[in-house]
Amino acid sequence: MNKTIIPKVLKWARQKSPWILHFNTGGCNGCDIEILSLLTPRYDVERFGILKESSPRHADILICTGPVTQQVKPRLQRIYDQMPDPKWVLAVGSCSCSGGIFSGAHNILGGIDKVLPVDMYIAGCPCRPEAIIDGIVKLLEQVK
Amino acid sequence: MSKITVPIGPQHPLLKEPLSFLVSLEGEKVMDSTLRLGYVHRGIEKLAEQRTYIQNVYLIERICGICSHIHSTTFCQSVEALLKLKVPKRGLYIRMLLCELERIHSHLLWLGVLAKNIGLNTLFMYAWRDREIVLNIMEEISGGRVSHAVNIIGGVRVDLNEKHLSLLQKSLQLLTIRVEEILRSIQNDRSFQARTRNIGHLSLQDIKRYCVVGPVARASGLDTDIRRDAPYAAYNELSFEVPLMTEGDVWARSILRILETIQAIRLCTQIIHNLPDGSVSVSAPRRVPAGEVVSRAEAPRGEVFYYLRSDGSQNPARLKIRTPTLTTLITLPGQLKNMQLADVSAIIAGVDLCIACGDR
Amino acid sequence: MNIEKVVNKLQDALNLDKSSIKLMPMIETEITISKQQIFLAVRTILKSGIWHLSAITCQQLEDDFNLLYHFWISGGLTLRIELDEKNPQIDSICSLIPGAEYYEREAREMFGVEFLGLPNPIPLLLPDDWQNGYPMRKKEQSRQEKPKDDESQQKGQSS
Repeated sequence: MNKTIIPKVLKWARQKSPWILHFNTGGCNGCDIEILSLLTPRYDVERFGILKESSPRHADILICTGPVTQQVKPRLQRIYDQMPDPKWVLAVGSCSCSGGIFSGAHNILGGIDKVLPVDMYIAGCPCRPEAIIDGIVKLLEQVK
Repeated sequence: MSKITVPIGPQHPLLKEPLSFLVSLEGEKVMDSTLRLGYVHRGIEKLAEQRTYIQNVYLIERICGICSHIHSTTFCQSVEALLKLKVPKRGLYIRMLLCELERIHSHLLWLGVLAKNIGLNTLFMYAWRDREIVLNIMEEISGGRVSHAVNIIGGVRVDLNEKHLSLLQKSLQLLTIRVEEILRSIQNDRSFQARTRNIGHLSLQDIKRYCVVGPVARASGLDTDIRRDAPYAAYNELSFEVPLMTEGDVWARSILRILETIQAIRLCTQIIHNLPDGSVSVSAPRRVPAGEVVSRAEAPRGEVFYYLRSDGSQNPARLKIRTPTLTTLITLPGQLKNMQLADVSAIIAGVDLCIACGDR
Repeated sequence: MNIEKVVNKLQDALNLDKSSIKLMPMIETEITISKQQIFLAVRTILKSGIWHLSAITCQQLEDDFNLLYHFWISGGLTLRIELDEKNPQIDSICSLIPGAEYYEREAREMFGVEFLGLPNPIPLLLPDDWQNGYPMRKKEQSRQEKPKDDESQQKGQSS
């Protein structure tokens, strides 16, 4: 009986309380303030069980914005390695999907997927909070 | 006592953007700190030389998401000076309206971040709830909450109709009540004062030596505001006060920014009551004649400076941007000296960092 | 203290020609001086009551570098200095205006201008392991490929 019940409980727990860690890899801040708006009374993602955590060790989902600059790249890798499994990566904003308006610049790599495996891309410049919520909910539906 | 070095950033709950602080402590007292910028450096000045002036209006807006409109205003203003274009009055008033709305939204955002950093979570929620009123207005006018794309070379691309004006009127009245309530609750509040008084002090002498601008300078007694001293757009036709305080600590900066928010709401009310008739833009040629221009504007964080040189082609030959955050960042090691570790969060929030602006 | 009085003081202190003074759009006065006169010029400006340095712009023209020091007191005053392309060097003004440090460090790493006496000559914005020269100089102006992980950056097609 344990073999069927425990995975079900784990899946329910992961879907109902995804804790997020937010990291800006060099973006203009537009998508970051829309991510912070999610925590405020108008959008209030705490009703999905989402809490914004401070430490990578406590987080399930890494929400990244910004085209990755050369200086930030080793830190991004380190934060991802510090997160415990299972973990997911969300790339929010056009910059983190493909470099966006900054592609071709001398100091950027052009997108989170040059460094980490991305699970969900949410485009927009800047991305609307409704689109970010939609992306997180779709990601949670795919959780096994 | 031995010395320990505590790294703050690039990823840290206090910081919204990557920035590296290395704080050397002896016990709980900060002895020294060093700063490392460059995590958000995207090479905007270099990219601007490779794009046309029209493409640059969209690039310049994305230097910073919080103060995007003032950057595109200063850029369009410099190009219009080289082209010797006269933007119609209605266009200038709409530009100013969005500049002031942006100032309100930026200060409310900063208030929420400061409150979160010093442990007053409720104030963070209230400030950002009231900020949504401003974002609603900006979305009705331009279609975007954070990035508006309202400026074009030669004016603005949106016009205000009766529906916008009545929404503005109602929202500004509600906003005045809310912001004045916030000011009343925190001005004499003992826990707010305990966390912000007498920390991060900057004297008027320090302000002048480091060429600091903006609310940080005005909170230490330096009376400077580009909107009043060298009016751009149509600021010479509006009347407003520039708040000034002399204490120079984090508390003074906080109260000053709320007073500035109230002034900005009054400016918006003046603009919508005195909006002139006419068109909102003039058409601009693609090629800009050769020349150089220096343009300044008052962003929410202080004086933003643009130098533009054109060589007669469709691309700028040199665009130099100096944002106000660079001037306040250089004072941070001095502010943190001899402070307690627990006060570091309030000092960092009090300066209102926008690293995306600083690094470009 | 207005700009005209400061310009007259500078003219007397540095023995300037009338032709080195020009006007730029949006209330800006520009004065061309030589690089040896920078210390005296900044000291005269500070003594006249102007303390605010807005920015230091560096740019590369056809055959030399140009440094522009932008001052402000209810009107703008810009000092223009030409530097030799082969050996761009000038005295740092950080001992007179500590706030100039970040601007000089940025000009140094982006263009390669040497500021003698700069207190902290380390990169400001570029990464510590940057190997690709001075990004803002003309010959690097062509579109470059995105930097790869450990390979050195290749130069793109010329513009």
